[in-house]
Amino acid sequence: MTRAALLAIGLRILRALFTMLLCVTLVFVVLRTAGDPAEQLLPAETPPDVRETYRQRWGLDQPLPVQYLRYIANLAQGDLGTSFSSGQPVAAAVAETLPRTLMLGLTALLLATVLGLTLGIAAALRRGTAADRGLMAVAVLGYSMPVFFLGILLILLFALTLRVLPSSGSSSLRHLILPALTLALPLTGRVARFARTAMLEVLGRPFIRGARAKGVGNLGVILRHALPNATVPLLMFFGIEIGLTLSGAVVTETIFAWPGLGRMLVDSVSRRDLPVVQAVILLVTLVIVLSNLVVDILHSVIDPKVSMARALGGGT
Amino acid sequence: MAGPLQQAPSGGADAPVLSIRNLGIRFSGAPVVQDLSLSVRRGETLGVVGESGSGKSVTFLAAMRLLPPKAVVTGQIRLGSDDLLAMSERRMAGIRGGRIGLIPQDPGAALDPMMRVGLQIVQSLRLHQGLRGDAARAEARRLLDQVGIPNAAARIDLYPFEFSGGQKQRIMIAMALAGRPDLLVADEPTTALDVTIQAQILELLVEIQRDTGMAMVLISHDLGVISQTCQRVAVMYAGRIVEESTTAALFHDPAHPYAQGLLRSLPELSGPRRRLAAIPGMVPSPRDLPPGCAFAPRCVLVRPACAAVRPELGAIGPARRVACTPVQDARQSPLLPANQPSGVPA
Repeated sequence: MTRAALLAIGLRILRALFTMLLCVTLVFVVLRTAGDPAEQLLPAETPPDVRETYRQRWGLDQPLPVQYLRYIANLAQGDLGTSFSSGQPVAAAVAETLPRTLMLGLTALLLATVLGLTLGIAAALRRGTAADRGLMAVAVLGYSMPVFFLGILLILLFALTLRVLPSSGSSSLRHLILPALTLALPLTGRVARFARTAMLEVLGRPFIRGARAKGVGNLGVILRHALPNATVPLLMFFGIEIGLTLSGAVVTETIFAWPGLGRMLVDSVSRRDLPVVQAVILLVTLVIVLSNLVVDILHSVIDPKVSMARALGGGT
Repeated sequence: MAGPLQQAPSGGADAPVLSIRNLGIRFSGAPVVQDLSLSVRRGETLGVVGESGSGKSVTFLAAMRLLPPKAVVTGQIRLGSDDLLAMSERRMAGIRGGRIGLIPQDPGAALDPMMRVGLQIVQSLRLHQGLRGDAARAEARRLLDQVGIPNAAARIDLYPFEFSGGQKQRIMIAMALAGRPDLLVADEPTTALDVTIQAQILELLVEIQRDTGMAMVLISHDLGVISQTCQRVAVMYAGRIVEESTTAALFHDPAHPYAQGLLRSLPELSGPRRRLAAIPGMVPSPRDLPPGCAFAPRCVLVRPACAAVRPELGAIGPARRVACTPVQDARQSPLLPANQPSGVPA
């Protein structure tokens, strides 16, 4: 890689860090204006002086700017703070739950990618046929259905009626199946639709006929010419979808009692456990920003035009 | 449909490389090409002229079987002794880019933007010459040299967007040559290029054809391009050939009123200045072709009968056919057989 390319990537990382800071700040301000955790968390009959002690312990007695600066300073050192409700370091709790959410999210993402791409490309190649229309109708149904509803349907079918899969918990891989499906199915629908559109767009371009005129067979045209050219729009699409999948995980984890970040977020919000809420949102932001960063870098690796502009010191 | 004179040509020296008989193409019912017959011999360049939508590109896309599935193609297209419309898709893929090369209108759009140009040529060499690895790469470089890409060795690994329009067309030509075609179809090869580059590309095509002896079809709406490069011309109007002639005869003495109109709409370099003539009216759409001659509504020679009876393409001289009743009546010699495609010697 050239120096210019490294510089461009460095700039991107800086921009990503700035996005993170913006997000963290926004969450911090919104949470502080949403009521006093000491009112919410402590029993109603708590004496005022005890309440005050807790406020001091949690640092809530300080003026907002001081709280903010202290929070940022701690963050910079990797300290996510201490949970109001458990008194444990947030970092430890998060470190325990993050892998479970990643496992759920990545399983769903992998499943949706493989299934969605296959179906979408197949539909594009059979454009206008009954198979195409049928697939797309199912895809629309898949992503129009609210996640909580889909989750409940799956529980009804597989856990209550057929009794083949557990409906909640996380003790075995079998527990992963239903939540992963719930998360994956709407995504599969979106991936399939997008892949079909991207594929049709590429298949309509003149160089596809050019490749056929050269004698490249159907499979070769799809694998060597259509797919590589559809990769860039697909990559952009995934950059956005990864964030949506994570937000879907919040609901899914709650339905299936999957002890991941999503459920942790819901629990901590209802308890006004500010350090935990902040930490979870920080992590979700981090995952989204990171995935976008990776998408950007991959884009420049895949697309010769972009990497060339980079090497010439062009746009960032 | 084939009479005794229209049997499959046996492989004599003068046998046509490509022969099309009674070709018909319909897009969802609308006739885009009707009853079209023509042939091209080795070493010959046939020009196909006509306005956009006259069916000139579609005819040769049909010969390469590159039309979308909704197109209904009837008639017969032969490459040497092979029936192109009847053969398996697999064999057809072997002929595309091999025995028939295509040079497209817009070279910028016809190259895969995500693939290095060298690899795109190597792809052709792999498919049609069985070359691999270093041998294929060396041959790709030689082809780039041959079509006049400067510094080919260093630029073989660049992407299409790093070349100019003219260079991209040269790359397309190199790619077509990689298949050592018997027939090269150049579909408006210079339309997307600057005028100065156009001449270079045409010169390159003519030169390559002279060296290889392949047959060439040059599709163009530009009569200037045709006059420089072609020995014979087929003029198309609304999906049919209306005149077929040697280039010299056509430019000297166009027979069909449409061909006359086309030539009058060209500026002349010598002689008195005059206003360029335009042909009044519009080309009819394939959906509502008149029952008689499709050109009748715009024709200066039109007679009442023209609107009712469609003129057949008939010989009016050696190697000369025209589809116009008034012209045939005026010029036709009764000694010449009618309906004889001039590409095939009688």
